Amino acid sequence: MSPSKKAGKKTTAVRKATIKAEPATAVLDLVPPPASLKMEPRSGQQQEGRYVYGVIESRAPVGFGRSSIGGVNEDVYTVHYGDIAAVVSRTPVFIFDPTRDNALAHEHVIESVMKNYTIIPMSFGTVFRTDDDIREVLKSIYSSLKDVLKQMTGKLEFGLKVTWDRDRIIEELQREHDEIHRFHQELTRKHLQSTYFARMQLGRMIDKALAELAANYVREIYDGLRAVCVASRDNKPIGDKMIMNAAFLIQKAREAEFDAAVNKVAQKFGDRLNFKYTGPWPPYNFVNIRLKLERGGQG
Amino acid sequence: MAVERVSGGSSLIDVLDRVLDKGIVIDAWVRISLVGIDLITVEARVVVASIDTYLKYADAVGLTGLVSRPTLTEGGAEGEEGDLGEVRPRTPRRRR
Repeated sequence: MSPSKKAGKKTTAVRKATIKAEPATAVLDLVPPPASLKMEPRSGQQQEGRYVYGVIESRAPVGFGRSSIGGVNEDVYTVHYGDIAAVVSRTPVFIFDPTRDNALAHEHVIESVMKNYTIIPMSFGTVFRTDDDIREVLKSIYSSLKDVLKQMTGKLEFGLKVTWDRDRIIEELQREHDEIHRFHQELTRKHLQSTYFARMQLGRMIDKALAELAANYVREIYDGLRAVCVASRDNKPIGDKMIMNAAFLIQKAREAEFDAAVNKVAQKFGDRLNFKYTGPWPPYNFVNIRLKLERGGQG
Repeated sequence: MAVERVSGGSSLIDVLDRVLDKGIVIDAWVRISLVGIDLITVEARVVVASIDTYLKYADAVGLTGLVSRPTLTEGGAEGEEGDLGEVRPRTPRRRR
């Protein structure tokens, strides 16, 4: 009867910190309780659900305007468990497509919450059937959420994507990179049948030089920002023009300092690199909570 | 060349980059990591009535492998927790 630790767990080399490792267990019956026990403000139809945007710290109910997620226009309110609360709005229960409108509606709510609260964001498309379901989840992972909220208080995430004009850099390499320059000259001079292989070789040389150059640039950029951030995360660049796709966690108090650092680094590279700087975001890249839900109350 | 900071909501790509698979994600055992600060792990077993929603959603975004194995339990909290961490599909067992 006692919950045993599962074998073959995927998390490897994870240090256990403040939170106990023993599994918390929460069960909700699949059969809906009698309506009289429900704490819902109005007895919604079967298909009404709650879209969850994230979790904040608050004892008192808070409103965050309205949300247009799912094409409806509903109040954004809070569902509480102790001193934490989920930010939610009513919505039909269905699978949300990450359309432009829906994604931006989700983000819009997050942004208004962030004006006054630290929010641990929920990933897109999370819908619960009832407020009670939400409370159950909050209760189950209460200590984790509290801990994350505490660690994220007063911190903001910023995104930095760095791209370059690849063709221009290649031209430069052909002009200035000794080895490539020589090889390129030779190729343009000769008109031999064997140039196909020579061109392949040149291509490989260029790819290697590009990768080295990009790595050096990225290192320099990180060096310029590391002192100002709490943490950083390096995501995979998207497309062949991007050389860096990073997220930085910044103390709110050092926001201006980070802005300045980004600008300083960008200036150093002039128009060789193009910086796309976004934020503030909630700490999407620095909080990773994965929940598995199970069907309960059967048998 | 000054770098202008643009707010999150102004770039759909950046929004999607974050909201689709980051933050609190419902699919597996609770795993919390604060990158670069600390790593914490907890295991919580959350059983809610709205699982169907997740299964459908997970199906839609290709996460089915992670959630396709609901453990049917007897008497609520008691369950078979031996192998929930794995990601291979299997027919749920029912105890008698």
